[in-house]
Amino acid sequence: MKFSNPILLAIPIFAFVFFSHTALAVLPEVTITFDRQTVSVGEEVHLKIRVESAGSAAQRPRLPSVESFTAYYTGHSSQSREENGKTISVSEFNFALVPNAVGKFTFPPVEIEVEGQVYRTSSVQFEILGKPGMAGTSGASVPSQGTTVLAGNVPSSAQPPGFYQIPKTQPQGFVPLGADPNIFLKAWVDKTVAYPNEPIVLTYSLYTRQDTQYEGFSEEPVITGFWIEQFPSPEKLDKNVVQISGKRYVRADVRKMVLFPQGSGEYNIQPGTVKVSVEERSHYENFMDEFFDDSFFSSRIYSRKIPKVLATQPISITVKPFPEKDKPAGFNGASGHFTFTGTVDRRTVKQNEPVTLTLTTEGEGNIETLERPPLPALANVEVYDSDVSSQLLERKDTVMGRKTFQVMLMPEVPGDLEIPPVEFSFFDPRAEKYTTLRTEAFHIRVQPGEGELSLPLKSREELEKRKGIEVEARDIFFIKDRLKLALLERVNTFRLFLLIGNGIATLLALIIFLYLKRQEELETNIALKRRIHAPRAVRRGLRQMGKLMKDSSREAQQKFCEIAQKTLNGYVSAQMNVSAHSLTVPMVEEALKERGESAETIERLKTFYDLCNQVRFTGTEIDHGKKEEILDTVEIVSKSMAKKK
Amino acid sequence: MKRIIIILMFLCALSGYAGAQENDLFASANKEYKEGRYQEAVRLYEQLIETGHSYASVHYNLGNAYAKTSDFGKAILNFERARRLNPRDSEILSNLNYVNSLLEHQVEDKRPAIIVGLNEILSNTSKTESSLLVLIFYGMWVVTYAFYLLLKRPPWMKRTVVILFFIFMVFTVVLILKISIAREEDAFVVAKTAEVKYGPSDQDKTAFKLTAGMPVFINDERDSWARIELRDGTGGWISRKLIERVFH
Repeated sequence: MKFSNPILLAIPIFAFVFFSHTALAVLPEVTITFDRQTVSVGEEVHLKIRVESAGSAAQRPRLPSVESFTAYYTGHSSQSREENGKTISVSEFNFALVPNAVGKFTFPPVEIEVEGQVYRTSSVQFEILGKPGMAGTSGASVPSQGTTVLAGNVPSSAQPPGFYQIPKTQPQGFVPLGADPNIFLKAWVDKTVAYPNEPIVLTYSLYTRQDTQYEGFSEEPVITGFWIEQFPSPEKLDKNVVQISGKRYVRADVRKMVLFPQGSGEYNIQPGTVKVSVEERSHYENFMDEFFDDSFFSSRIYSRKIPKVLATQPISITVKPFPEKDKPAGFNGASGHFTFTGTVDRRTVKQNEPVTLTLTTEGEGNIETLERPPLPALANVEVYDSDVSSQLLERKDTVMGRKTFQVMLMPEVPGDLEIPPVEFSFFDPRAEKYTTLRTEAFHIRVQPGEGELSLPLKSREELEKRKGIEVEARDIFFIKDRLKLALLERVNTFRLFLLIGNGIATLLALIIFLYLKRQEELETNIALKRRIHAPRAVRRGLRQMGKLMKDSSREAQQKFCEIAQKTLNGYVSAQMNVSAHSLTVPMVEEALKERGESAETIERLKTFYDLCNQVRFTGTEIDHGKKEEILDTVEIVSKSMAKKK
Repeated sequence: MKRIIIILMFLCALSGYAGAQENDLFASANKEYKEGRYQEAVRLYEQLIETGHSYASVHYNLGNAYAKTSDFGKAILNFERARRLNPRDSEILSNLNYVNSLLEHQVEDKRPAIIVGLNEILSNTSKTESSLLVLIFYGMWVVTYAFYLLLKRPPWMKRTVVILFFIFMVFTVVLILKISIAREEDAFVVAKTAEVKYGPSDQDKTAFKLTAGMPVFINDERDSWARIELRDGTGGWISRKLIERVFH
């Protein structure tokens, strides 16, 4: 971070005008101004040299070396304007003179070269006083903040408390107390006495009179016993000009944080150290230095930066305990200034279903350490902490925020549930008294629920506390002792049997399927069914006839002929798909003729019917030869019809 | 009497216990292992496998013995054999994962995510198991269906027939997926290092090198060379003596 050099706003009290070139009656014009002639030791006198010329800009003047003063070059500005067709350049060179001895001194003339001519001022008389503050100052003093008030003559050897501390081991470029009056660091707090959790603002301010670059903390502060909320570092440091003991400084707050004490007692803050780099321009040790310190080169090309480490003194803070008087029962250490509200997400709920109670605390104080206000005892209600969220708002010099606690209440019995007001107590350090805030009372209607089972709170906590097993090392497991096949490996041994079994089962299933399919078809085609079954009936009839062949009784002969007629009629009617009872001999003859049967067969059939009718209805007896003839006729006709169907 | 003997033999086989000679060999190998003579244990386990029986526990123990002798290629091969015979045994899986984690090189699986996912799911069952389950449920379905037909299609049996057919189809799909899409590596590198070449000869240029224990798919075989592919899609030709098939 760059600081521009402060421009000295000197009040002109003394001026010389020199004219050494008669041809330039007006230009060049050189004006030298001191802001005072009476000054104390350590205070500054500001010197401004203004050169107005028609030609090129003036070279930076050399100040004469004076033992009683230390001189610093504090800045240069230049501008140009058009006047009567000519370009007029105006250059101003600013210096600060710090007297270091009491008495009356004469500051010797200053020489300046303009357009090849050397101009010379007159000498000036100064009165140096011994005590600071006796000489008149035109700037305002630094406003007092807290206890580390910047007062008195900071760069002098008499240091006020709370300013510099020289570390035991000094880093390279370390600036000890009073060693460099042009730059110093100050760490200060807005209060040194506080209550626990009361915000204390700790600020690091850098004061400089030189072109300075802040490079951060080389040693971080050591702060114990506090909750720390650090303000974010701004992209560009705010800076302002302050006057301390007659000297102008640019001040920048390089770090700011809020400390919340966590308990009563005495605390000591070690502030750490800050690293900066400063552009050095104040010495002209030789010709080359002066050459490179010229305003042209001072445009950052050849400037010389010197690193410095700045320290400041430790800070003591006293934290008082909370007063015991009027301390509320539910007070749990909140300190600050807060508002408190509470809401429920529903007013009607089923048994064992959750109601969310939201408690919100908002205000100024340590939001992060706020604890959930205690809830009043609720019978037959399971209470679970659901969620906690906080939002921090960092304002200029304090920390504000909002913290929300969500609590799930699970009523276990139906009926009316009354949640009494929830109380939140805090200590207000400004008023130095306790305040208790309350939510409204909540009335919840609990309806009978599904009776869901929920794990008791205690069991849940126990489950949450249980840790998993931690594997300490990895290796292979030990060998197996039993030479045993897995179940499916064993079954695999019989894979072949399984395959054969499946094949047989498939075949059987297929046969059954086809058989039943055929049966279904036959059920719908009676003619086909009769045709298929007819041969079987013929075979059965022939078997019965064969048995009756040997029996020569009248009844047996009649039975024989009856079976023969029935068998043949059955077969023929099945082939013709007509009823056996409606079958006549001419129909049979016709059917046989259609099938191309020989006349002999037809004649044989006629004889068969005549013979059978005679035996059955007239009681005519037949011999074995006739029986065989009847049997053969049945067989021949059925075979003949089977072939020619 | 003959029937009783056959039934007893059947039950004995189903019980899964091996014969006395195999048990003795297995016990001897285990004894060598327990006493720290891993090389001898390896020899005896290999001898037991040569008898033709493929026990998951023998491959597992052999894998352990190889792991103890730092032959991670053979160790992984045998753990993989054990896994494929008994895919849900936690100790087999643990040892396989552990030895895999000791390998210096791993091949990134660049196959499509669906195939990797399928492989992951189907790795819980072996090909043998899948085919057996297909056979078992097919047999059950056929028999049930036959009875269903014989009993004139009673409605109470219809659901059983449908469920059995569905299960049979599920295992059939699993088996098809396992054989076709979710294919597992056919072989593992057993040599310490193996050069994969652009062609099936020593004169071909080396494409890349593999180390012991790395799995490969075998896509083709020609004389003493095998055309392999890795999970990341790279491939080439490798000498067959440098790799060993999981199952022949």
